[in-house]
Amino acid sequence: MDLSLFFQCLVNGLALGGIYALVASGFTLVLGTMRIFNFAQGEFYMLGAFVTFGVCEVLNLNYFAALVGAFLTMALLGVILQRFVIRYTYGGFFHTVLATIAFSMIVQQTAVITFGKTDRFISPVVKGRMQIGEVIVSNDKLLLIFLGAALIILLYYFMKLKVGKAMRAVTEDQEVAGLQGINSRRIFTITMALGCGLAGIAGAVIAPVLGATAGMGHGIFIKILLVIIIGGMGSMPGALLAALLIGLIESFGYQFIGGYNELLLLCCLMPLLFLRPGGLLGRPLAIPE
Amino acid sequence: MKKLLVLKVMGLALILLALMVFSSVAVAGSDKTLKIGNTVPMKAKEGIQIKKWLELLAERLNQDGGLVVKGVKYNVQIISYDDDYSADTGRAAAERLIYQDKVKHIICQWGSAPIVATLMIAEPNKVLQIGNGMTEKTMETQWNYYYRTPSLFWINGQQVEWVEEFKKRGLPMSVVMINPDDVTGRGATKKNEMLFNNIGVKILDQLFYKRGTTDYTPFATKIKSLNPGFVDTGTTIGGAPTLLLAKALYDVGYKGGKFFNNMADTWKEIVDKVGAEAIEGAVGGFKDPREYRTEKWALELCDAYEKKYGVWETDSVNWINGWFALMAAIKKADSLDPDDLTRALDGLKFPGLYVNSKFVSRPDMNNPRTCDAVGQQIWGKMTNGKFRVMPIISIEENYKQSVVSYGLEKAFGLQ
Repeated sequence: MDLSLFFQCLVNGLALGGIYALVASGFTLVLGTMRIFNFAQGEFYMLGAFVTFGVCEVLNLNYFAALVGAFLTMALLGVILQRFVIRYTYGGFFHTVLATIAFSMIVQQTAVITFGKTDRFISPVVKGRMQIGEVIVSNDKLLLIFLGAALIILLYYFMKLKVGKAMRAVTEDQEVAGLQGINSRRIFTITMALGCGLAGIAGAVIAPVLGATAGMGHGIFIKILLVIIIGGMGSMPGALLAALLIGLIESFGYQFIGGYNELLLLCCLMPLLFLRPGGLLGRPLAIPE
Repeated sequence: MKKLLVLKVMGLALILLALMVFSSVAVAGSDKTLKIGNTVPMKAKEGIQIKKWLELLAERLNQDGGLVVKGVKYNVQIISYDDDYSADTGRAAAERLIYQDKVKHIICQWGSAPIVATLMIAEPNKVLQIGNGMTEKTMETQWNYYYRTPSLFWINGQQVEWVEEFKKRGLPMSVVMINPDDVTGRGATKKNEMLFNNIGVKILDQLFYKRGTTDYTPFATKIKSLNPGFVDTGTTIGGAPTLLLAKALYDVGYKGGKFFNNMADTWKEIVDKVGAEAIEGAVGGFKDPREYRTEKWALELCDAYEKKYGVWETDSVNWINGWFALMAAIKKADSLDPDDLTRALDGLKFPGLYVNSKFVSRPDMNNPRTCDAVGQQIWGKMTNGKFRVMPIISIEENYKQSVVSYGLEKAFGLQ
């Protein structure tokens, strides 16, 4: 493998990993804090992409307005899901899972009926390509990597703020957090808003590169499950590490073994689960009754 | 009071009787109806558009006075069912058409699985079938009532031209083929493998992607690393897949030639969203009759479609050849009987909205019946950000180039 191909694969892997990291961090946040598997996480990603299309191509606004719009609308939708659906099923883990699956199916089918099966494309935010030696990378892909990294750094600093600390406290022990005066219900709402907002913004980041399509949520959700299993359930650093690893394995893997790169991923999963059942940086998550 | 009631009831009965007599006289005096069957996948835009075209064609024919056969006027009625692109649903739809609706002609089916499933019932019931489909099963000698148009066997004429085009530009004669990973994609790969081997193009690799893929970067990176003279995108459909693949190839800096079979539907969007540079010099098939047809009837038909449905769509202009073949055969035979029509279809040359075609035999399949249609070929090239239609390849030229490209000169008697 020559150096230019190596760097090409590296950039591709980082871009892919960045998207997985954004969607997975939102999922992990919700899972860690609320102990909920949000099966609709992929649909927030998909809707975020469509919001971006709407803002940029229909309303003809700035792309950064689309980023903010995607985050806020998905955050709001997440709060609606939490307040009107999850809140009533919170007593049972599997009830919540079923509720989010149902929500996911409703959203996906509504998207197919509303937007059809045609993909929507957004004009590139930064046109052109950058060439460094033999390596050529499109500017929109570089923007994707930059935005992905920036958002993850922002999330890191957010978790250091008072509300972020409160979320971590609730994750550790909800009861004790309550004794410290932390309103768990309010934290759950913020967590859901943030988790879904992150998925929405991931959709907004990917939209100029791959467009928006009604089926894109389903495809990424499978990868997110792999990310959280490999990274560790409820572990944000684990999710980030796993997302990057998966992106790189997919990118490099394809060059050497073609379409078997996904098989390679699954083959990596098996020994990992044997050696570290909790994932790379996580611990086994107790499923609430 | 009672008498009044009886009178009222009798009066009502008389009115009803009069209505019944009148309507039966009206029916007896009205034109006959020719039911023509069709099955298409209604979830695919191609299927929906085939149905729309057929309904429009039937409507216009009826408005123009209907179909006159042996002095009897027929109003044509299209009966179209969903075959879901599957053998099971296709068979059920065909059974309904043949046993319930009593059709004797089924046209413009799209998709090998439902076509072959229909054949199993159509053949013993002597129902004429004029359809599409990639599979060569339909060309076997056991079928006497199946005719194929357009045929995906007879499309090498334009591909040979494309390779010539790249040769003229000095590009190396090596190719990477990329196709969807399904029966159609693998079938197209096998067919083009034969073509490239016969015309001296080296195949560096064959790549397959899952339908629904949006990120073509890994494939584009692989193609760039192999650095072929050109890329054959095979049965990659128009719209998003073509745009995203073109974008991915451009993003990684691949500079070779590109065949995009369905670029014609998407080039404007590629130029707008990715840039003209991304597909400069790319070659591809073309399906907008408005751009190359000069016949008044064809242009009026296109306008009528746009007027009726409010949008101009070209995804299925080639898949409705069956209608034109059937109408030409009926006119020639002056009959609706499938046996008479098979004789009329023998070697028949007929105009279509997309291209003119001619039925030829398949000696390579030991089939002397002229059951497979060779058509003209329309292709274009991206030049300075615009899609330029190249000279039309004639039926004869396409036939010859296709036979030579398959290495079948001996079988077809061209040596």
